[in-house]
Amino acid sequence: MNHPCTFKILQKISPTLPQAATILSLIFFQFSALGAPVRSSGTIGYLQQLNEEDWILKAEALHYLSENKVQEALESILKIIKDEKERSWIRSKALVAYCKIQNNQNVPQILSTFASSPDQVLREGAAESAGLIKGNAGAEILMKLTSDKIKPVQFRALASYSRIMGEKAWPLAQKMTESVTEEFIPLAIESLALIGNKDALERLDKLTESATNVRALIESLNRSRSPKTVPVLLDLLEKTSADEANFAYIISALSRNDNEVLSSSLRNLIRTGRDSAIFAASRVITIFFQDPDLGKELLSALTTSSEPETLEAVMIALGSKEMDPDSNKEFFITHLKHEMPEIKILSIRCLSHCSEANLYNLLKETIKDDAGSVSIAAINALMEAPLEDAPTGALVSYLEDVLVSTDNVIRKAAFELLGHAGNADDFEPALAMLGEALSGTDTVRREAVAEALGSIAPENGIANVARRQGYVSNWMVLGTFLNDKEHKAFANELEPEKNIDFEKTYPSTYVWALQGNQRRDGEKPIEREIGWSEALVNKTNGMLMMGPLLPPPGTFSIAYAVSDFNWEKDQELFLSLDGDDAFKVWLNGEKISEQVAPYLHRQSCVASQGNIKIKLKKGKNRILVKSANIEHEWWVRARITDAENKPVELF
Amino acid sequence: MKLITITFTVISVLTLGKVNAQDPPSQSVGVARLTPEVRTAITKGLEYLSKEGSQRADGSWGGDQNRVAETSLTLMAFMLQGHVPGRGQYGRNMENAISFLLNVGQNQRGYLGTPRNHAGMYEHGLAVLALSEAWGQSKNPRIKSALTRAVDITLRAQNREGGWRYSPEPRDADLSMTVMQIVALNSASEAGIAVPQTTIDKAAEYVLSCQDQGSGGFKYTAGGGEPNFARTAAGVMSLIMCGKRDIKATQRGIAFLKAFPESKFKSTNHFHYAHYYAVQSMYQSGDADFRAWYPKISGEIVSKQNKNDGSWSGSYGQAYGTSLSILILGVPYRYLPIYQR
Repeated sequence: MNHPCTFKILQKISPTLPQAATILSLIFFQFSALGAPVRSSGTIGYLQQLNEEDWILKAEALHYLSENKVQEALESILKIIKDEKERSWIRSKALVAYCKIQNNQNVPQILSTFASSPDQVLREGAAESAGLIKGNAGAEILMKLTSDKIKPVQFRALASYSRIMGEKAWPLAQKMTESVTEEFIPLAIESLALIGNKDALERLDKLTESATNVRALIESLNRSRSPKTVPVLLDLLEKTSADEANFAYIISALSRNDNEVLSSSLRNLIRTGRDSAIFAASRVITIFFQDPDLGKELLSALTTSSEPETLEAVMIALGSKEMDPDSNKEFFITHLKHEMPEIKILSIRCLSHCSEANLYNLLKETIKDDAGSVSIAAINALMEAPLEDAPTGALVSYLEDVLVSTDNVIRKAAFELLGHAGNADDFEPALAMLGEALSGTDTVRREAVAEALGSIAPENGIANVARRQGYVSNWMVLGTFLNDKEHKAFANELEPEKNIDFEKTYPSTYVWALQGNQRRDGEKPIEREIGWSEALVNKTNGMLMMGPLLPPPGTFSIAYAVSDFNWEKDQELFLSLDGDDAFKVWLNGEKISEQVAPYLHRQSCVASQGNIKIKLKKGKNRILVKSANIEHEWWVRARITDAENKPVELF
Repeated sequence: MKLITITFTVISVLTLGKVNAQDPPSQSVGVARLTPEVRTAITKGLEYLSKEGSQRADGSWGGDQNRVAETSLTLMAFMLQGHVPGRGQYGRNMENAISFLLNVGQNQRGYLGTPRNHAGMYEHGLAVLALSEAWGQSKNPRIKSALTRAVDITLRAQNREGGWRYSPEPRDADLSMTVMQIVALNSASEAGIAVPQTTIDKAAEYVLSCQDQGSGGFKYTAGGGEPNFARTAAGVMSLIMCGKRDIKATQRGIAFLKAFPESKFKSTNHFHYAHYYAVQSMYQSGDADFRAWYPKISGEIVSKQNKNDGSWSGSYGQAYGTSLSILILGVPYRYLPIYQR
């Protein structure tokens, strides 16, 4: 063992290196260069932890080092074993760890010393350790210890003796386990599981029934690592509620067993046909043992079951992707019609895991279910389904019931599905069905419908959706003129305000300035000639986004938007305006609003003015908007409503 | 595409011989005219890159920090004019460069970033691009397996938003790194390495999320930063690579680039990076745009060449500046698959 030496050398040659780096170097030299196996990740830390005073830390280190069989720890562990000032319990645990790491036929001298010690704790340590000696070299010591003056040592020795002797230990175990007090049942059970013959297992079953400390019992069975304990563990699982802590403990013990043994034991359990057995097996399958063959067993067993909890557990087990849900598709489809909403929802979820299921076909009726939770589950499943399965052009009639549902949550989910799976072919039918919501006074519903329609609208359909909600949607736009951070050009009257002529072009200057920077001194403005162009509102929420309509970059800019429309009579109505960053608005030549939002760098700066009373005249009317932007977002919006807050559709 | 690559390579070898022999006053390649000044600048630049002492013994170019990147760019600069690894004037330089890149990958389980370079995914992407472009031209049988491993790393490093960032793990994302990986994956796909369409679609989604709705330019990340010329050029190029040339977002990005004032055009930040993507964007945008764009940028690049040794200075050294300058000037050659429409 040359590592302490290497460590010292490394410390000498690199005194300034952090300890971690030195340790890494040590690992490298020790194991990479010499070709030795690489250490487990925590080895160095646990080797140091052996020197801690705290017994918990020391015990933790012994456990880790023995589990990972760290040979280089033997020397340090032996020191602990021999240290008479150390606690007996730690010395005893150290001896167990030593034998585990040593993993050969040699009986350490100290083990014999412990076995004859007057200290009961050390004798118990000897009893446990002797069972870890390879072969039966420890049998003689263990035999003696089974006759110890105190029971804990006797039973500990019996368990170890059974571990190394197997069935040969039965005569002794038969005698010792004939009548066992509660305290020693776990060790007795461990012995019997290790012996594993028919008689021993029968006795084990009996003892299991009388055990009250279930946790200790599971630990004993787990410690024996005998495949013969699997049926016992499954039996315990069946009797344990899934809410109890021991349930997880049993599952954990089961998961350490061989697949073949588990599969066969689970099959036997399911074939009993008991609801509790099917339930327990389903949980094991769900949690860690996905085997499609066992799925078939579960389905057969269900014919004798009537408990909904069992059905639920089976569906959960069968629905996972690893259980080949396609092979159980018919079973799931049948249960879409089950009386319980919970089972229907489970069926939907299971079907959504089937790669060969067209959910749009299968859920056509389910989506209209009386139970809202089922409807929602169906809609959610369809959101995940392949888009090519959606009924193109017929999606609106498919979703008719849910789109007009009185349940807000269902309706909202249906709108989302329409927007997600629909396309331009669905737009007109959707508009016909939902258009009424666009002109209603329920703002939440109107916006949800508009968003869904916007997702499937053809290019010219967006403005139509906006218009139905009362937004001014047909515009002529002109821009950009140069603005600044103080909005000076916004305050001044520019040429287009004096006389609007859509045929006319205007000289304009702009400065290419991004990042919200005021234009730099000396930066040469760029000249260009600009003219009016047609523009439609490009958002279903009525926003006229200026950026895409005008030449870039759109910072420090002024633009104009004009909308001309006919109205059938003189009428008082209400106009709501908003925009980012500032706007002035004229109706038929009369200025009716001016709002400027305070400037915020890289943030929305929204100005608004709602419910301005306006008077439209019969015939042609004109709205003129002067819009200003410094940077970031740039848009304007105008909406006209009547006295009852119903939108007015312009034409 | 492989056939096209080989065809162009063959044509290039023949054409170069002819050019050297006759030296016509100007040569029309593709839609743009390569003036004698541009051809001379490229030739002098390649001579600079190949001169003794420029390339290291291990086949790499550049400093310690970004050797993979500089080597990848230089390798592409040679290929751009139709030079072929293992053959002709620069054959040995190119073969050594390929070996260097392959060795980096071999030592790092497929990852091609320079060790300890915190932005190694840039280099990884550039190396994938260069090796993909070299695949089919070099006889080195290791290229394909190296590419396959490298692409696998790229695919696994895509984050949930669809983008990539500095290290080969799917954590965060930015536009610049995402564009680099899109270009690399596109090229690898052309070279025959399987790249799922969903990866490209998600990446395009991420790029689109970085567009500034106000100006049409592209920002550094979806959530922040300001649009600028370099990012917009990169964003546009990547969207075109994803097959989205005609969507509104790309067209707005192109409009942003075209409206960019000439005064800033010459002194934009990340000059080489920006114009490498911009010139390709304009080339892919169409003949009219490219005809208007190329003379401006080629004139600017030629004027920046160091007349003494044929090199260009760049943010990351002479090899970086020189190879990227050549890659910008040489778009009309179209010998690189990535420069084909």
